[in-house]
Amino acid sequence: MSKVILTIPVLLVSLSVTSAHAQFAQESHTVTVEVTPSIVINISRPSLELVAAESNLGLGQQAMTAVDESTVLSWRINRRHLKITVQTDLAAPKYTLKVMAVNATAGTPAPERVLGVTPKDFILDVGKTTGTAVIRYTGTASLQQGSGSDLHLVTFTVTQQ
Amino acid sequence: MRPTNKFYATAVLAGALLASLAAPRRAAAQEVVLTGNDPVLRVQTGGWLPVDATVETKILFKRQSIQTKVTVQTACPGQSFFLAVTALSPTAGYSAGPVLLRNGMAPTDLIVHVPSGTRREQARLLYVASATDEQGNSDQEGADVHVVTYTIVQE
Repeated sequence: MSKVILTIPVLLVSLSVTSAHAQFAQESHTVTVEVTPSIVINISRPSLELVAAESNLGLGQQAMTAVDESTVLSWRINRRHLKITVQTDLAAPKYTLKVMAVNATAGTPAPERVLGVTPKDFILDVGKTTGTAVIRYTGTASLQQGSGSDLHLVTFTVTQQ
Repeated sequence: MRPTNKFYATAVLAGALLASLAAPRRAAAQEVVLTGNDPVLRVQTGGWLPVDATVETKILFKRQSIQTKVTVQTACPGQSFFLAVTALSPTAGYSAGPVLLRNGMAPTDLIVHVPSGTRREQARLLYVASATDEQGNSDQEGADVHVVTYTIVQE
């Protein structure tokens, strides 16, 4: 009978030794990460000039045009559901000035717009994106309008979509 | 046959041995301690270059009877942003380098090759948080709240 009692602890010792990667201690704490909302927008050039000259006219054409794509709009936005609009401060321009985004790396460019004092969509779906777009300006003047100049202050605004 | 004193002594010894082997090994909280307040990291994104947020705290851990390592894991349902932790200048063992904390990850080595012994050791814990614009902001997505767990395990 004494032999039976001594056998039991030996068997259990061998079972415990075979268990691997014993865990000795554990501790936890809470770590919180917060990210501030951010909207950053930039225009690469402070000003530009479009010159529509008669020398650009082809035979039979009545309107002179000038196109500029030298300005880049860039943005970093980490908020949702936003778009960029564009407007001018010139309420009654003599000539027509159109604008559109080309080669946009993010968002959805809106169709070409005639600039007015009411904000118009320039690029949609820019929420939670980082991107750039070339600003294409197209100025148009007819021969009947004669010579002169319009001075626009063009404003791009990030707003709720 | 009546049981003898030798029988009773053997039975008591066997019982004590059985109890020590069969009882579950509970983690002793004092074997590993995280010092300081729960870290809060605020990523500032107001400029063209995002600024990572960093917070440093400390882990105290005790050597064990065998060589061990310290692992780290996190639980953060709905995690939106990046968080990593690095053990700096451990007084025993070696830092395994930065560990990216992702919700539901398996325990990952943080400090390795901790020798056996009885000394209490420590290391600085450097948390670094960052976010891309595509990940949004915590006003709209909610803050990430991680439960980060450190474990001393046999190596």
